[in-house]
Amino acid sequence: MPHRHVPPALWAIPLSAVLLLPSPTLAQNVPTLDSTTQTARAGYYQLRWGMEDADGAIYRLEESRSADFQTAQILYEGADRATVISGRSDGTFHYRVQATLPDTTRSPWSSPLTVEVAHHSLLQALTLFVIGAVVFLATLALIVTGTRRHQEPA
Amino acid sequence: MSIQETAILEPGLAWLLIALFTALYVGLGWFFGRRDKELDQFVLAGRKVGLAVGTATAMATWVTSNTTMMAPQLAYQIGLWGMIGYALGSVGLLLFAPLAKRIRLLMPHGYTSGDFVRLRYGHLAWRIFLAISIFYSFGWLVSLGMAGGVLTHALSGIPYWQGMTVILAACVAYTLIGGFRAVIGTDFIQSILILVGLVAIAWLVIGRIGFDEIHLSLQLERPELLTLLMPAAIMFLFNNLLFGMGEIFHSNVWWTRAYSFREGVGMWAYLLAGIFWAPIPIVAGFIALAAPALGVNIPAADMVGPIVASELLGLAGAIIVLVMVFAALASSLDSLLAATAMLVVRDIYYRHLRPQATAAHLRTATKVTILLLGIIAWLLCLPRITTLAELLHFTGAFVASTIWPIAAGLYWRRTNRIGASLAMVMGSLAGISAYFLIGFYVGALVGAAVSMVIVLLTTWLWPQSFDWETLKEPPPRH
Repeated sequence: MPHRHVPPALWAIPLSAVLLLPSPTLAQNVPTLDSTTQTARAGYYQLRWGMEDADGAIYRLEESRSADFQTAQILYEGADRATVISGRSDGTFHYRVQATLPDTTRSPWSSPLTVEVAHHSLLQALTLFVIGAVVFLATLALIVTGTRRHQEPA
Repeated sequence: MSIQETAILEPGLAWLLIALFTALYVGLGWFFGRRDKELDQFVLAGRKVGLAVGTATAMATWVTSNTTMMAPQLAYQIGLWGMIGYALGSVGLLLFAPLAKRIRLLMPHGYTSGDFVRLRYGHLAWRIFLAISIFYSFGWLVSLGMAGGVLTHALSGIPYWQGMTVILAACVAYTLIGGFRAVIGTDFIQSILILVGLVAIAWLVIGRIGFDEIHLSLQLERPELLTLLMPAAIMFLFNNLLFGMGEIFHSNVWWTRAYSFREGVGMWAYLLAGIFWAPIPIVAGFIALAAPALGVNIPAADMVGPIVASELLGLAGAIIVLVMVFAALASSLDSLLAATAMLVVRDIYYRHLRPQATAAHLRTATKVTILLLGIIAWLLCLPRITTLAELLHFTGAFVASTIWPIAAGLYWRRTNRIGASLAMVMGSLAGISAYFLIGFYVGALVGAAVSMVIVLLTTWLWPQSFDWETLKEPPPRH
């Protein structure tokens, strides 16, 4: 879906006049959109959104690989106000959200949010895996040999 | 503000189910504990627990709401290894089996895990251990209380704080009324409810959704969940195994069971419990992987299990999940309340403040402590600060640092008190640093590794010759 641009001449109108103008399609509030992290090291994160005075609103969350949302896909559409993204490979992901109120008016898009997925290095992961295996095997050896040695009552 | 607007169960039906099972558990608590007037009976069920009840209580306590809700969360966040890694929690139970036998042999009159550390390593290590153990107990208590609220909210839309409050209050009530015998008696009933519930869900799921569909959606939408080389998941595998070992090796929940089992029972009860427990997180975790195929939104990772089950199975699934997870969290909450209260009363109140206290006074103190623990846990649960997995794994760094001081202390005469104290402090510090620098999936691993190195080094450099008879401290004359 194309990004909704602000008309170029709008800057010339006083802000108070803009706020007072009735709009048939746009709600006055703007949804907020947040992520639990800006850099996801394990491929998962939670996105949360919401809007003031928006009871009964239906939200539409879009994701895009490009900052201009030219190739955006709808990730969620409904009344919930959060979603968990997981299992993502390395890359940069852009999000925005829009609310539709019960009277069918639509809010502007939220400010875009960018999350970068950058997994830990495989070398670091394998090193810690080996350390974990060594600790486990050493503990197992301690218990097995200890149990054998102390078969008789102490 | 609620983050989820869609729920399967009517709030009225959810309240009715919660009320029915609360009444059942409180009634059973009164029934099982009605004859336990003596302190030893109230806190250790007279040290005569048999194999069937022993196995059931160990298994039911280890099947916490965390197993049924966190295993799906981890499968949803870090994929296949998350699910398998969680199942490795059974290793802790299996390895505690020989330890339980040795504990019963070395300390026939013991009451708490703190008793062992005090007698084995002296007062400094004992106090460090108590700080770790009580901190962990609160982490676990809060995660259980939170799970109650998350569960009822995910299934019925009941506000988080209301579900959390009622479930926490129910568990405090029957633990207070019946003592330890009520805890293990209800564990037996609850373990049956958990197993029947899981079998029912597995049977219903198999008929509704295919492996191919699940695999395809994961491959398209969340490919990293299927890869066996996902770095965070690789690190998580042994981290979770060591976290489980740390939890079981140090916690008074498991030590009180070792003391309360009839002689010869502990080893087999823990082995069987470990074997029965292992498949449970696999079944529970698997259903989370069906979420993308179902196209269902997951607002918070710890809600994925209940949401997918109720989405797949409708009203029947939601009811089964509510009953099963309520049983799972009640079976752990009551054990934890009883065991933590005992640790606080015996190791802090009795040993530090009132050494002349009578048995009747300690029994009352235990009840007051159970109530206080419930209230403090409730206050800590109110602000839902993080997800279940991240909260519980925060305590992982601390408890994993106790693995080697406990295990080596039970088998090696030469392990010394300075080494044990240093291992717990340095292991905890290293683990918590790793938790913040790398992620929640490495805290326990790093804590256990540093602690092990310190125990090995100090045992080698400054060996002591411990007399095992020291552990046979005569029972206190109340």
